[in-house]
Amino acid sequence: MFTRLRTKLTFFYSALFALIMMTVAGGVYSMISTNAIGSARAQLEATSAAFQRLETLQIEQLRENVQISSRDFGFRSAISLGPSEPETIRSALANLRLRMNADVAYVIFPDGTSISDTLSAALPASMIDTLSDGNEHEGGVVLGQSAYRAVLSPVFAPNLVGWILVGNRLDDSQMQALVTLSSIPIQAELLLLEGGRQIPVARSTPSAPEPRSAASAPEGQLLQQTLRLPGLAGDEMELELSFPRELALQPMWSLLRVLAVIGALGLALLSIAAWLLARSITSPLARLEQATRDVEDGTYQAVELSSSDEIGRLANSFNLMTEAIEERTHTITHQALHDRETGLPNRAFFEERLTGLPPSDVVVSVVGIDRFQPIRDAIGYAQTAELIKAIGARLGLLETVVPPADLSGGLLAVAFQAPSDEDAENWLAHLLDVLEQPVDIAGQKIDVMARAGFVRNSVTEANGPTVVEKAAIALDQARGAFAKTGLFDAKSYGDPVANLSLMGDMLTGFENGDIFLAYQPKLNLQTQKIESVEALLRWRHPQRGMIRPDIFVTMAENTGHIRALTEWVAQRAVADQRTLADSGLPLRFSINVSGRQLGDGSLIELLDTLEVSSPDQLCFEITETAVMGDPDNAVSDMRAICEHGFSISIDDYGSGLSSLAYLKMIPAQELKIDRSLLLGLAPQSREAFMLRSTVELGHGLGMKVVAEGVEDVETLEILRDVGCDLAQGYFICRPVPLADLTDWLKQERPAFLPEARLSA
Amino acid sequence: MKLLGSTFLFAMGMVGIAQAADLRVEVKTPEGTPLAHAVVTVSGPGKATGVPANAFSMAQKNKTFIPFVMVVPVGAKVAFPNQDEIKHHVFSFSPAKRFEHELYGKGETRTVVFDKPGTVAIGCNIHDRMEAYIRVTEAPLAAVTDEKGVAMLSGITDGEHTVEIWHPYQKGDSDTPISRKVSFSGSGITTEVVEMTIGQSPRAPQQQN
Repeated sequence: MFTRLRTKLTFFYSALFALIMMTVAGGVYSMISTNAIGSARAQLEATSAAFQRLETLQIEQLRENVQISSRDFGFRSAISLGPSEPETIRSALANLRLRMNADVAYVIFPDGTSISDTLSAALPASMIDTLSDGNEHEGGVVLGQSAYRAVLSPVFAPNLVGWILVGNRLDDSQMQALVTLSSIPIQAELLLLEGGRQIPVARSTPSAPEPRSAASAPEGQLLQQTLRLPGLAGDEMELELSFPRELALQPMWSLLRVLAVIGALGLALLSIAAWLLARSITSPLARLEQATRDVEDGTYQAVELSSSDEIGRLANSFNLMTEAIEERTHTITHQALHDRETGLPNRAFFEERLTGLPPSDVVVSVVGIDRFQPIRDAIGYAQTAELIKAIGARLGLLETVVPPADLSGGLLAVAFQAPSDEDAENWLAHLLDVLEQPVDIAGQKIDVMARAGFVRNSVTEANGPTVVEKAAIALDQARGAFAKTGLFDAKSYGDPVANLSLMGDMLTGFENGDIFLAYQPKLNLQTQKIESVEALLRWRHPQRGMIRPDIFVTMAENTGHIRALTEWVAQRAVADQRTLADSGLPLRFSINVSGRQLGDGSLIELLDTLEVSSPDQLCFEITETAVMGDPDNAVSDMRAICEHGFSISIDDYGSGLSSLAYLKMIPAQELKIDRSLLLGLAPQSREAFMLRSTVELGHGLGMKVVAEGVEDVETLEILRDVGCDLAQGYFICRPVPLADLTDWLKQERPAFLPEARLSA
Repeated sequence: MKLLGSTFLFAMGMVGIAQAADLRVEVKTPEGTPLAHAVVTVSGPGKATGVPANAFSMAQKNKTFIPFVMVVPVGAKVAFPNQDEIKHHVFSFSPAKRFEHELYGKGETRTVVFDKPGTVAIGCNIHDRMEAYIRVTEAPLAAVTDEKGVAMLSGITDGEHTVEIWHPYQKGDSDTPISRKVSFSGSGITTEVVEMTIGQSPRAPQQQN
């Protein structure tokens, strides 16, 4: 509801105050209105009671006067004259009224006649009937146009000779006198109740009297008090005292107004005070909040607050925390962007800085220290770090656009400006000269050799190698070419991503015949006959054309597809062998097995699935180096091959690091001499001598010796002369598909070696 | 009470008539209460013998008129002797006889001649409670009922007579008596029972004996 504490506090305090004020006002209203109305009612009651008391007194006084007068001898004497002497009676009545200060007087005779000195009208007979019961009567009565409080008394002389009725007027002035008894301006009205009607006969306010019924009295607006007055002759009178409720409540309204003003002023003051107080709280809080946002954004700024209260302490804690965070963040950032050991910027740092640069004329180079691992092994990691640091320092002296970074592993990255590749190459040559100056590490001079690969800075393509990676590859390429510097060659690098997808194509290649086996016959040098063939993998890719086996076999090895590949080759070869045998061409088949598979058990599983009638007619060609990684398991697998009855051929013997120790371990039946041993082969040459020795070594170990890569008859002759058992090569036959092989085997051809030489 | 009971005949002049009857009148309220102070008159075909020589007296004693009710023939002279220690102011405003005797003391007396028939209410101006009635009648026979409500009238001649009964507190016209025609023949006592409704006196005067 409220997003700001200040608004919230101000609102709630003000609302609370307003609530209290309203409650007070409500209480005051309730109390005062009750009191005011109560006291007005009390006034009305008091006035009514006073009127009643006064009325009683006046009636009493009137009665006494009347009784005395009724016994006045002269008056009785006059009355006893009877209606026959009205004038005497009237004068006596006038005299009586004067004495009693009365307003009206009547004499009523036993015969029902009545005489008044002031009113001409006689009393109604009904009234006389009511009154002439011999008793005294008193009460209100209307005579003529006026109301009176009257007393009627019989006159005895000594028998009943008549009655006298004496009354005092109940008029407006009486009502006015009555209301002066009250401390509040009430109104008094005298009503005659006649047959359910109320006839006003006197009132304190001088307004025209109008008949009204009881129902029309404005109940609720007037506080009323009514007093029944006995009537002289039946009809009663009613005194009605009223006071407007509004008027009773008037003092309360002024009090409420004062209260409202006080409330409004109080509310305003409280709101301002609450706002100010809230601001004194929230303004530092807002600054703290802003500071936390700044920290979120990475800006560390201390919050200066002068207050020493909780908020001030919070600010201090916040500042301490911020400092700690800043320090840690700095450390973490530094660690994330720098090599821990050398303190040089790392690759992340370097690449981050590089992305901000215009790609065009910037060249990125990765400098590699030759023989880094041996050096590290020799001088230790700590000293190596010192060495890298020193080299980094040298690089830092040069004019670079990005500070040199330690890529670890003896590689350093550097970026500089060069308008052309030639400039870059020259610059790098100069750089390497500088780097190859001996480095002083712990008092020892260390000579380092270095190479550099470089590439022009460019935007990294999706899934492509980064610029730094390209430069690193260029370094590898330079190393491969034994050059000091090398520009990244995208073509020779190939396309690793495309190579990976090649593996996906392999399975379909098996199915639709894109991948197939080509067979190269082996010539028995003794018999001049073809007795065996080597199966070789071929892949004619629909899009990429012929793919070199070394590429996709290596990839299969690296991606785990080699098992499937080997299995397919084995099954295909076995099937083809059977096909040839069925067509009358029984041949011994050789298939190549990757050294990677030796020792992992997969080869053993494969052996069990091969259905061959004579296992010795199937030979597994395995390179001598296959046993080098894990000799025990590899030799174990080889033994398993032998136990299945298959034979083993040691492939590519004489290339690389041939080891007699391994040769001794391998349970092979055949030794296949690498084609490199046939290079520069001439009769009586050192090469021929070495070949002979190798053949003899093989024979000595009980193995047949095969030579491959035979491309001319001279070589073939020398091979026969040194005692080699089998030969294989383009001179005899290139690798051909199965169908061509069948044709080739069936066709008539001249002997590969001259018979004469053979016999000689 | 003794005086009240002393009903008397003022028709003394009728003595000498051989054949005469007696009338006994019992006056009572409808409730059966005997009514004293009722005046019974009998007037008949015989001629009245004139005003008797008897002296009538209404004394004032203990601030009371004695008797309370008295019947006199027209022309009777009534004395009002004061037997109290205090003075009295005897008056009457009745049309039958208006008179006034201002304050006269003990041992003094005043006389009034009632020369018109009718009722004369008598009071004392200085003692409102004093009240008495004198019925002035032309009838030859008259009596006032005693406290048993009985009046005895004797010496009534043969023939039809008018018997009238009046009481000072009677209801209705205070001056007009109840009237009955009664025939008499020979001697003997005729009893008439009369019911009379009495209005309460406004001042309920207590007759003090």
